[in-house]
Amino acid sequence: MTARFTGIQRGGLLVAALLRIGQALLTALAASVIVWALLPLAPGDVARRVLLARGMQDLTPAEIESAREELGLNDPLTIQFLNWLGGVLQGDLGQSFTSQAPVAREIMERLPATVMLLGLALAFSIALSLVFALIATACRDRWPDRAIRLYTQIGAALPTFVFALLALTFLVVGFQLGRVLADPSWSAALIPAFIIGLDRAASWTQLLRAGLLEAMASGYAEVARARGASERRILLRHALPNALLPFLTAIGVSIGALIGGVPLIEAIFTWPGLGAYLLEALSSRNYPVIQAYVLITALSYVTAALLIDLAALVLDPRLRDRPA
Amino acid sequence: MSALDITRPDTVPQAVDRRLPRQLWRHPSGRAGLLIGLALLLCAAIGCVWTPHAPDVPNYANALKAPSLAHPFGTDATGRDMLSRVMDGAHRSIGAAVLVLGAVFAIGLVAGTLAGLAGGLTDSVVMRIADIAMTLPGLVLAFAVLGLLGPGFVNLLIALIIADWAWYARLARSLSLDARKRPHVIAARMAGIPRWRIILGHILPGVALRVGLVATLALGGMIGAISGFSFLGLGVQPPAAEWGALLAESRLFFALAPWLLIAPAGFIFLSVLSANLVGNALRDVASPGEA
Amino acid sequence: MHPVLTCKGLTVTYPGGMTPVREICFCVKPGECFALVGASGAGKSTIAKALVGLHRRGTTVTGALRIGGRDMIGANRSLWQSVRGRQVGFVAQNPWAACDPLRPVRDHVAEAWRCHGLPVSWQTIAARLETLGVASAGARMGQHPHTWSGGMLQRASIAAAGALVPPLLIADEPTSALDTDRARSVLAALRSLDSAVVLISHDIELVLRSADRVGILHDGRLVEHGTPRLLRSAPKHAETRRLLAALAPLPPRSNPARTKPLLRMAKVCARYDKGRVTALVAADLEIGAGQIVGVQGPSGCGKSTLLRLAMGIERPAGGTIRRSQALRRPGAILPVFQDPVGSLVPHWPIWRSICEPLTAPGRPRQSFDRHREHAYAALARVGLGAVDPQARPSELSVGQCQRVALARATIASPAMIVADEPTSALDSPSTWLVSKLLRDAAERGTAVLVVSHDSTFLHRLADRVITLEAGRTLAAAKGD
Repeated sequence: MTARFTGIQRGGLLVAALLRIGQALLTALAASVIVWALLPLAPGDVARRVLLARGMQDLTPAEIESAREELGLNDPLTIQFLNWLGGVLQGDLGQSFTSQAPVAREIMERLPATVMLLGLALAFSIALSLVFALIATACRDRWPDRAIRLYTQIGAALPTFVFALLALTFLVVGFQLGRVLADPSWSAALIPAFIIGLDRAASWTQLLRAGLLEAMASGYAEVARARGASERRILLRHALPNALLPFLTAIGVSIGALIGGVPLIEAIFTWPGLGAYLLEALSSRNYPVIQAYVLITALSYVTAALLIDLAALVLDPRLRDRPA
Repeated sequence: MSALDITRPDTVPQAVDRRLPRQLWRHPSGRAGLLIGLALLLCAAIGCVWTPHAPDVPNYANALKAPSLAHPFGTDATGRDMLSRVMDGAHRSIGAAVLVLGAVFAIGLVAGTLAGLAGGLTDSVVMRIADIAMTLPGLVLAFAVLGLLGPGFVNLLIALIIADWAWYARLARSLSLDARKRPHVIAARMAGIPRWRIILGHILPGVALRVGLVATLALGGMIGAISGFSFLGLGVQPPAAEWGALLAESRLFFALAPWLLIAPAGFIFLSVLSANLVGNALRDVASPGEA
Repeated sequence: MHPVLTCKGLTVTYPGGMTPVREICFCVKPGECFALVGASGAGKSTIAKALVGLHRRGTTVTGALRIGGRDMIGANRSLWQSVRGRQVGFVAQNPWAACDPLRPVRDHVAEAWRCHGLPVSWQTIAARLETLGVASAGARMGQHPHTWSGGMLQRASIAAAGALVPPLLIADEPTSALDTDRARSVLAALRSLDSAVVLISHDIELVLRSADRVGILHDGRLVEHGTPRLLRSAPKHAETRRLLAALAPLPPRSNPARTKPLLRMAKVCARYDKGRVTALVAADLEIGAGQIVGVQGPSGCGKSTLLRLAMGIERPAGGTIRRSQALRRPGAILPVFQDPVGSLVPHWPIWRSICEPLTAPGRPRQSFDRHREHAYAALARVGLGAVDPQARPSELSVGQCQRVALARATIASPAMIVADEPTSALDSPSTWLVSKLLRDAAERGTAVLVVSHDSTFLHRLADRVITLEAGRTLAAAKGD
């Protein structure tokens, strides 16, 4: 902490936000390089796979060579990358090796289902962890806190897919709470999203509860107490905003986990989204689809991290006033 | 820290000294975690040489039996004893996680301390590679690598190492940069102690200890991640037993024999739980400034 | 007049059965300043917390405690809430930690009214801040705490503590996060309110200077109390004498012979960040063997930069630095740091840290056991003969660690010791011990260069004190 008057820098927020956005763009570019590199790195001849996908049989070397020329595979790698990037920016993600359809179209058909499930799960887990953590902190060491702590210990120790599998087997199917095979709609997403949210919320509650307790024991909480403020006022006015900042950052990290876990979750709930699409592609070595999947998840991860950092910039004056 | 991602402990222990094992043992949750962890390791060790029944010999007359004294966790669709399957799978689940974490620990420690202490070009090159590896969520990167290499146990290990090393490298780098500025290092420099002795005596032990503790605590989460991939059929291939693969097999019969899920799920749960409990205890005893 | 605070047989018991504070009896009259002083661990903070009812949960407080005529033993939460702020104000040690970092300073002050449901205008707050010496408070108070200086922020905390004009203020080490000069003016600001003050401090000197009455705490008991004059002239208890010994003059210097300077710096300047930040403009320094030179100045004046230049781990941007032959060999200059625990290798037993300078290349090779014997002897020299040489630094107290660090710095008889704020983490008795050990080193012919913000400590220790201000050395003042 600086002990000097630095004053408020004019436009500190704007500058910091622009810097962070620029950094996110660079990250996205770096990610796109890895994503692109998947195709040249993939074993086997891409031109051959493309021709086979077009339904051509008994390929001659000449045919393959002309396809190479047509696909630009003889160009230098940098040119290939730029061509690919240009295509991506125009929404061209290549052709599926198996169905011959444009990957972008197939993705768009499946994306809404995944977004629906993930969005609901995220909303559930944030809401649940906020409520649980506030209750646990307010009732520290009394029975609601103990119950919540037991739940968080169990939930944090069960990987989401195991928890989902058990919940599905013993609750949903056992008590006929919902259909296992579901078409993607908001109501069908409700139960799977709640199950995922309940598991995620366990570890997030632990984090937020620890943050709130730390804030409640901090110097400023102590001083507010000594001024005559009530516990509830300290919890809501001082501890919660301060504890939310690290909590936000932690959520940003776990969003990567949530996105990365999509194939597992969709496999368990037989949810026809992007994850299921990826698993199909993995078993058939359908590289353009794998590539597109990685690109989309990487971009959503970068965007989520960006949004969270921007939110932290708005919330925390220390981040924007400090000279860079 | 729920384990769908390759999870890492959320605190790096600070005040670590020779009292640590005793402090952990005295801490109630630390002792519980250590006991569970030791029991699991023992179980895996025994499972290598002896199981109550043959883990991979089918016995169709005995298929899908409910839990009983002879088969505490029941039998699967081909009549194999679930307890024996889980014990047999233990060394694969735990061993795979130990292998991956050992590798990322070694790679991360070498790359990170090298970058942190050499600085300059080495630092930039290593850290840019790490940055690129970290632009993707760990699991997505692992999926991408598996997509290139194809499914399989060894490929899964390679994918997880590629997905996870950068985080440890970054940790080791920041710890060694921090250590380099510590007063005791400056004092040794001023006393004329040669650079290599400072690195080996002052910097490396502390960095390695902390990174190693973090990697140990990540064991439970890594077991969860590996079982997730095996559950999808991307890791251990049947008929070899592994906890995630067992879950996938059992899942097919969940309407007839839901108890089959208990043993593999329970073992995954216990391994993550043990790491979490030790992690909580470690945070209590080795993080100054927290009551 | 009725006392504003009465403690009779005040005893605090922790959940585990430990009683850090036992049988405390004192009362505070309106408007007076009563100070409680003691070494760390004497129970000072526990009393401070008990006086505002902020002890840990499960803690029991027994005896009699009357604040403003109300009996507060066993008071429930709502009674405490109505008493806090109105009857008793509280000023914490670290002003930055005392403010919610996400809210501007004015909110921090306004909270004193608002949490009692009272309205307050920004003008009132600005006026209160101005009377306590915060210049242009109206414009500044919208800024966030981290942009304020410690002295100013502590004034804001005092304004908040005195917002509802309580007859009593509890101040827990209110100045220990501040430089000496600022500490005095902040203390004056605290006294400028009409409230009685219970001042809790480890600094016997500050307390004797500024309190009306002083109580000495030792092992959770109030062993003695009286006016500063009485305590100074006729201390009864051993602890009082021990604390006062920290004020005792150091053993006299044997007249240092005029020696050739070891190190001479002339018009040295230093810049950081590719020349954008200037840390030193023109600094002059000269030190010879066996001399003690102190460098004082407020934080940010370039003290630490000067030290790093003297150590040779940084190069100046201009000016000349001349080192004599004796200073050029490796190991000739050994440092002592502000952070005593961090200056020892955390995973080594302390004896290994101590004898490390002996193991440098170029020193005569000795067996392991010889090294250990040297280290044990050095430990005994700094008065730590009873400490386990196998202990790790984290098992020692801060004061002990600093003495271990001094043992390491002196073991190889270096030509010069440079000490950067060596006492800022220590209490008065430890400070005195460290001063004495530095003196001993100088008597043995080592040059000692000490940087500190504590001018009392420097003037007592050093032969010469140099003042640094905004990167320039002012004319050297002669020490006593």
